Amino acid sequence: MRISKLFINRQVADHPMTRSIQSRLKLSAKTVQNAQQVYETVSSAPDPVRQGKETLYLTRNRGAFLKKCPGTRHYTCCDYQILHIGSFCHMDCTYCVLQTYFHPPILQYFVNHEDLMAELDKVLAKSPNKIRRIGTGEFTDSLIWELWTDVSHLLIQRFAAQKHAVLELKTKTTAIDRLQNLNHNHKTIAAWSLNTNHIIHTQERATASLTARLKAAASCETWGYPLAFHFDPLILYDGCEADYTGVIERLYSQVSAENIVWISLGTLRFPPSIKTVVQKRFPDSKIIYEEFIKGPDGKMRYFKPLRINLYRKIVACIRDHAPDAVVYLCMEDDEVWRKSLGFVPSDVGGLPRMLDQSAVKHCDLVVGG
Amino acid sequence: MGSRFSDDQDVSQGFPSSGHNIRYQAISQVDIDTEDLTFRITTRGDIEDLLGSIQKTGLIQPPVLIKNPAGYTIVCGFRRIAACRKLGWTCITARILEKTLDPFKTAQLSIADNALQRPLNLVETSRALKLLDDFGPDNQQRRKAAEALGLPISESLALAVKQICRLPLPIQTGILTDSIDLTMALELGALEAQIAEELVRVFDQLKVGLNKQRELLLLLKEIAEREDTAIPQLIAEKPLQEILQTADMDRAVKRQKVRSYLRQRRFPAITKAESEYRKWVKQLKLGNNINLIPPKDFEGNTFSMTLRFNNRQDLSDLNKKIEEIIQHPALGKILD
Repeated sequence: MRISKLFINRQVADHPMTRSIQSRLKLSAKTVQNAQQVYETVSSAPDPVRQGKETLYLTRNRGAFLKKCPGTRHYTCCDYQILHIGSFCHMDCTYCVLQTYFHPPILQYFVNHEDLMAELDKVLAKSPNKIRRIGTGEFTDSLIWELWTDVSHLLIQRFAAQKHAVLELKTKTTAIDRLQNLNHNHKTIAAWSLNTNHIIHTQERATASLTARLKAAASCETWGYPLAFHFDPLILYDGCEADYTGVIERLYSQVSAENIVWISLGTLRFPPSIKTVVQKRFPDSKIIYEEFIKGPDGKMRYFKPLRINLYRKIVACIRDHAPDAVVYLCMEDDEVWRKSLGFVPSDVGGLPRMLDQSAVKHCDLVVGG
Repeated sequence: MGSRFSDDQDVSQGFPSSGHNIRYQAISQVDIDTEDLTFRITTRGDIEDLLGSIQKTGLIQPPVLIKNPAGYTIVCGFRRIAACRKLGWTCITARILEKTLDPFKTAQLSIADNALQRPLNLVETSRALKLLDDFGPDNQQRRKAAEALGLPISESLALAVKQICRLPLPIQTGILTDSIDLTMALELGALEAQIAEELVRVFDQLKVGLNKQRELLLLLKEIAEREDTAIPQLIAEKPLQEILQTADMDRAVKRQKVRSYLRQRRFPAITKAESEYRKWVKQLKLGNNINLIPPKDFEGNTFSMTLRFNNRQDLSDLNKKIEEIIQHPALGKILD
């Protein structure tokens, strides 16, 4: 979707990053005192979610840039850290939880990079024995900002200059051109969210095709970036198993198994409020009519045996291609881990440790020192 | 046959105090347009109760009519006119409103004639609110009139109620017979008329309570969405029709079977797991004093067990039973 409205918070109106983004967007902007005015404009639209995707609000992040990934105690979390560069996304996936996560959701970008970098410097300097996995792709897509900002460039350089943390840029785009000649020092993982052609065509509006995503991944591999892939959400439909194994075959035909830091799997889950949004915004979508139960974390998820069945088939296919691949499940309990992967995280010292080790191995991280 | 009218009755009851002239006039039945239902508030179609009374005492309250280009439109007294017609009266005395009377006042008169005599049901309230909407010059005056006439003035409630009289007739009938409530009526109203009618028929046949109606509707809607089919087609399916058409089946059993069938269609894996769970639990022969409860939706991993006992001996017996359960292969199936 195209950005059609630009709002700028008065406090950052003269910020160099604001000017830079505005000149690249070539849009006239409305300066506002606070976010309320932006919310009002978005909320009054017939489809506020869509309007939020076309409305960019440049502002300052007053809170922390680094946040803990919002896992729950009921399911195993990977202890990931989110680098909050902005929020929401101009692509339009049916299942996107961001549609109800922010009220109202608007494309928001934090221009105060100086604060971001200062916080990052501080965090990276402390506890050097701790391996950190940090990503920008939780509250937004990591690479949608490439057209208007230099944030990836800035972050890749900063991470390249240290050896205890990795940056994961997670995307459904192919906006990788500006990553080509950067000195990443293997500290940035280029990651793609993958799905079947059927799901991409029907549920991931305005995202890159599977072919394009895999081609972009292959390019990043040739530029030396470690890679990661996220099959999340895995969505059930007739024939999905064959389609997902087909995607895995294509994946391994395009990139080398040894350059993949990790592969995550997570079946579709969503807060109940998303159901109404999907019914209204995507009336042709059938994905909410599968067999869901409400999990102890309050989110809707597929009935457990259905999840296990799909995980098993996908894991088997990955193992066929890459027996040593680091595969993990996002937000699942020990029973699902055991039945799908044959072990539970505690067998290998916990999920965070398992992922840290893979990051150390693939990204030349140093523990301690 | 002429009209009979008792002069000592208070014929001005319910009239707005606008000072307009009302004249009494004998009107031929053929001049009364009984097809024009613009001002009809009442949902009652029966006239039996009126036949005897009119025959015996005459028209105590003459109907109210207003002149239209071809004859007369009924403002108040639809049932009285129908009763007179049934009694063979070719001419009746009616109160005739001036042609120039403000239509909004005419509407209020029609509502007052009903609302000030008895509580209006939801459909009648809906018709009354719609009349005010159709003829009221602005929101403020409509609201003022509604308040004076005892109609709902809460904006959200009025908005919901107003929709009722536009719903298909079977839904309105469902409301009147208390087989569906306002929320369900509006939900059904959002569906195609044919689908809504079909559902009202099923609800009425099964005499299901409102919560179960919601559940059945949700199941049907979601199956239809998922399978790209229509709700009437689902209802017409053989297994469902076999249940619905079994004449000698108890209604409660029928309700349960319909619900089970639809749940099984909507959640095949979950219902299969529930059925298997019941099968394994049966093999454990828990008896009446032990209850084994699986994790909700089989999502968690924690089972719970309740024991009922009255004394030490009971508990000791249960302890032995628990030992048996622990060794039973069916427990393995359940826990796995």
